[in-house]
Amino acid sequence: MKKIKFLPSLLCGLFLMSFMALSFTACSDDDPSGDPDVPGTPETPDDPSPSPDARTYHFDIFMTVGAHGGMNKGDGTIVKSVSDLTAAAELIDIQNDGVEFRDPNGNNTYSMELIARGKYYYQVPSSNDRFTKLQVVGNSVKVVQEQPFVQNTYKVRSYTHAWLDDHTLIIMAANGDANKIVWTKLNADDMTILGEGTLNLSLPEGATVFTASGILTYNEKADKLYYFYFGKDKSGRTGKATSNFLTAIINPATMSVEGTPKVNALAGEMAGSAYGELLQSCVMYDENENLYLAAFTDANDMEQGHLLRINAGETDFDPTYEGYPNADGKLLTVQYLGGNKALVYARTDAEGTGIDDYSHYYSILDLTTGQRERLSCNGSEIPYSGGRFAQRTVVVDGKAYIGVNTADSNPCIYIYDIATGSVTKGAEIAEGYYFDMLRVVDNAD
Amino acid sequence: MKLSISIVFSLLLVCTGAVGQKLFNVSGKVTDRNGNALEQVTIIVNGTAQGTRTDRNGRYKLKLSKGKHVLTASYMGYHPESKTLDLRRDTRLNFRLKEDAIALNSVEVYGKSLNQQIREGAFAVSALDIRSRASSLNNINDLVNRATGIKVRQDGGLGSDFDLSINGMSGNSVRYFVDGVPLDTKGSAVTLANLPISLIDRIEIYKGVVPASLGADALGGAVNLITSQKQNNYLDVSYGIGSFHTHQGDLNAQFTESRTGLIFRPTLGINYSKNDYMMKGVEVWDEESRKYLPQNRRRFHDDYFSALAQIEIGVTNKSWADAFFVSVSYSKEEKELQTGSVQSKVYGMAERKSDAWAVTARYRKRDFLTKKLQMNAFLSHTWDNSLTVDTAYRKYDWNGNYIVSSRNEITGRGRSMRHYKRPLTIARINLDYPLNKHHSFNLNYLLNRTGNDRYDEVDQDFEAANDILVKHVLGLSYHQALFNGKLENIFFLKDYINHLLVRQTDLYWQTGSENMAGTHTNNYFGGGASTRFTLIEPFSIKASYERSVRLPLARELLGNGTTVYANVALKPENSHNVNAGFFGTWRPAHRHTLSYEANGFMRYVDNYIQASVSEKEGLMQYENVPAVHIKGVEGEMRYDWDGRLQLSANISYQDARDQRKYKTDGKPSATYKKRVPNRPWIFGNAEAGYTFHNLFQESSFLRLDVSYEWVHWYFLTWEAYGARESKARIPAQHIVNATLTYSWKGGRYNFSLECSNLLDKLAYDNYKLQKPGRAFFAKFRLFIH
Repeated sequence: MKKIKFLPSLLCGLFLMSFMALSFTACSDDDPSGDPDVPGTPETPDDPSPSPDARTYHFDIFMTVGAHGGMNKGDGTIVKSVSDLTAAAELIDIQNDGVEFRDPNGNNTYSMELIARGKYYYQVPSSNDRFTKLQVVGNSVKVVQEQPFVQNTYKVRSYTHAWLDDHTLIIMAANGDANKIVWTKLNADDMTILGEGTLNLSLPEGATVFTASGILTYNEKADKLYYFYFGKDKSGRTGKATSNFLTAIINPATMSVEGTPKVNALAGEMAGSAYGELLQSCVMYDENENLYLAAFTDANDMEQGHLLRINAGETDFDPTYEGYPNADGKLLTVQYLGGNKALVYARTDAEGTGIDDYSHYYSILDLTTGQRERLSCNGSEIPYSGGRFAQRTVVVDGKAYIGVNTADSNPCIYIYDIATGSVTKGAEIAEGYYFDMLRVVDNAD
Repeated sequence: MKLSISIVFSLLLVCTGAVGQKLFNVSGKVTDRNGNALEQVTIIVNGTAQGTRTDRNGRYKLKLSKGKHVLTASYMGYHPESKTLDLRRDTRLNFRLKEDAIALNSVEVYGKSLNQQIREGAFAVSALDIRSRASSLNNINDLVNRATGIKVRQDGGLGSDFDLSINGMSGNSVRYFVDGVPLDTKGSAVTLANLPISLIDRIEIYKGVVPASLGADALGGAVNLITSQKQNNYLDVSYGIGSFHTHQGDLNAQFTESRTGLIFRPTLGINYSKNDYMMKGVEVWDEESRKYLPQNRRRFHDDYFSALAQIEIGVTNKSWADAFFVSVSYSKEEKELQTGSVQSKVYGMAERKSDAWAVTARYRKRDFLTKKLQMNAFLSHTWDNSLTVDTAYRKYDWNGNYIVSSRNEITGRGRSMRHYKRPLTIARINLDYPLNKHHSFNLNYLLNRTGNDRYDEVDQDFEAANDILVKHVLGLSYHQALFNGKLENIFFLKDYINHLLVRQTDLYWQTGSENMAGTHTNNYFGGGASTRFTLIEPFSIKASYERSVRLPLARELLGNGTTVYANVALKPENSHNVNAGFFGTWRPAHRHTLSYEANGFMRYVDNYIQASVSEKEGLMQYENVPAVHIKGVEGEMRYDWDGRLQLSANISYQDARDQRKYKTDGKPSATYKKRVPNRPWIFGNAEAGYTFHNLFQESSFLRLDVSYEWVHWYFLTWEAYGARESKARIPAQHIVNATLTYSWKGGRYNFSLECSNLLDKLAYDNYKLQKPGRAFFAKFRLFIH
């Protein structure tokens, strides 16, 4: 009886799956071909990602117990490293497993708001007195190198950063009075300070303070640093922005601001103004070095998201471009997938704007048309997730690993195949914790 | 086994003997040398377990068998007096006690001290004798921390912040009183850690169930400090000097102006320490190896100064008042801040200052309005100001060096001089009415009005606010003493009214002020009962229950301006508190006394207010945890031989389990029913003391005391999550202290030498906040009366 009952469901499912294969977000793996009409779509084999054992990278899952990890609310972040996020993986759990994210001697606590690159994490830890380069290796944290502050000082999770190359990292933030922007250039290999100073950047008209960190990014094509920021009439959260956000162009060699910063005419505020991109990714580049920035404007009783673009080699936003039109809420994170497509995490404001409201969802966005397809699997849209301050997505080896936290099931990973557009359900994460961040990290030597 | 049989046999003999013999009444009155009746004086029949206490009129009554007996009357602060009688008929025997210069442990040995009487009452209570230790003690917290079920967690040395917990309940669930009046009246800077020791006679620590007469909305319990009530003139002055540049001076005196009868009571207490103790294994940058290396460094910015000056003037024994006193006090505290909430955050300039003026009046009258009605009234106003200075743009390290920083030390923002003005008005009225010797009633009303006027001298963007918190606590209790005092019952009801006016709006996402602006008034009821039944003298049982409510403190609601964020959305805690236990005192032979006590308790708490450390910013905030259930057991044994040798040991076990079923996103929480982290859960203490009498000269004694404190290690975070080897722990503590006290000329001169943390063990009460290592303290005390 069970078989007979199951058969119609199976046929129905197969039909639905073949139908969904036509869409970008089809939950299938039976279409190996890419889209030849989309420039930049990589030639892909059936499955470009190596087997978990052959990979040179792994995934770090950041979870907290009792309270969210972001926004300084954590009871202690626990990092669990796994090599496999497919459905074949065991249930991911931190019961007696994973490592508390603090230095081995307990002198410092690390924040989940961090910089990840290659094998390492970089951050200003809770002592607010140094830069730290560290690794998570199995169930231990290894401090690779530290560098005390010499001149400029920073606060844990309140700065922005940019990579000039694989070896040069720039940290930048407002000072304590928030009336100047200070910067420090680090050699990421040995963490020595290459230089530091204060930007020759004036407060916007009418402003008494800068926003805490702003967003810094290095535009390789232009060989310039782009700094997105705004001013407020007073410090604290009651301070109001004096204008839309501005863009300052900085010479990365001299760290001098070039020209006059321009007030943005398209959106009010960039995403991530207080914490840079330490948790959430809000800047991306396509193959042609076009820069995209997630932003929003208070309008229509919501924080309406925008995706803005600075064309390659330009210094100002393309006034004709709107990559995320008719938003129903805030655009939170963006990650480029290739083939003119991006993975975005956004919110339907009508469903709630609280941190834990189940109002957040993932979409695949066509950067040319602005069309977006909500992430679906087995013909059903994946329900809303909770987690405003979350970055549960990574893109690696032709796949996007997308962590969700829906109301009615365990948190889990969905795997989006960039070439085929298929979506498969991956590993599950044990219930009971806050799952706020997923990172992909090269394996330690 | 032989001993057990002997004990049972002896008990049987006592019982059968008592049944078989004819009994005569022995009654009388106990007075002081002025003829004033003394209440609660212990009358014991030497060599037996029989005894009683005097009533309000100083009268007592005993039934004894025919023959010779020695009766001893003893009372704290008075020489015990013994009288022999050959009983052949009903007999009247009066005692006239003389005041004692210093109450030695003999009071505890030969009779039931007041402390013992309190312990043996219906409430679950620890009673500590301060007076007998006044010559050697330099910090009340040191003694309190050794009481059963009590844990004082300190951040550092003298003057550091501390949290006192009773049966696992957080320090701020505990309320502090001086003679039934909130300690806050002396200013927020005055705490158990810096109160002049000579001012205090004894301490009562109520566990879970708090008498309605205290007017406390305390969830975990209450600490009531009982001041010295000596009748005659005296001068008690002491000075102590210790390690880490520590100096302490106390003065407490009483002078009666004979012409007017005015009584003057000046009090002065001063504490100072540099707290420059060695920090072991702190991180110091080594440029050559380009690494932080663990090094030992002295604290360099932890100076502490506190002072309390008070003058009390009044009269006693007037027709219109048994006692009427007014007092003015001034307290001051200056505290340098060495670290944030973890020692990796090093400060070198930030400091906190506070001072307070207080004016109080108290009035006591028996037969007030009607016969037998006793009135106790208290009124005070305190101008309490505090200032946190965080203006240095410097970043310090453990070498004491600094770089010029781009931000301040504590918050990492701009310069700040944050003022808090918290005017406090307290009014208390207590009416006590004994219907007869078996039944009495008590009605207590307490008003507590706290303002929170805050502003910043430097930070122009700081939003000034003036929040007001008003609490009314009304308590009615009924006391029964039946079967010749063998059964004691207390029933009580409490009504709590909380009125809050919130005006602050800054940091609203952190403080919750956006949802709580304006005025709010809430009413809550509580109540409970306690009972004690003495089966035979060496064995009594007692149990108590309270449905308690605790209204949030101003500090919890409104923050402290530096390390504690406001949370104006905090709700009152409430709890079902249950205690049950047994106790007894057994005198197996002449000069041997063995006391024991064992208790079990439960605390079923809702909306538990808990400090959550947000380590990443080094700041804290109090928050409501939906529920915590705490269960525990504790036990204590005390042995005394001839007033010379005292041995005691106690152990406490507390198991606090989280009751949050769901996370903030509505899904099941992994922490449900898990042990709440970052709190001691099993700890114990042991003490031994020996007194050599009349050593070197008459009327002298030499006393040696050794104590050992043990705390089991515990996890900082939820123990089940993360690999155990990676988890942060607060390590076990094994602390041994030793004290030598020599007193001569009948207690007129006293000298003590204390070595704390004798073995120089690393000790942490809180994660990565190291306490002092081995320290010495010498104290000289002059007591003239």
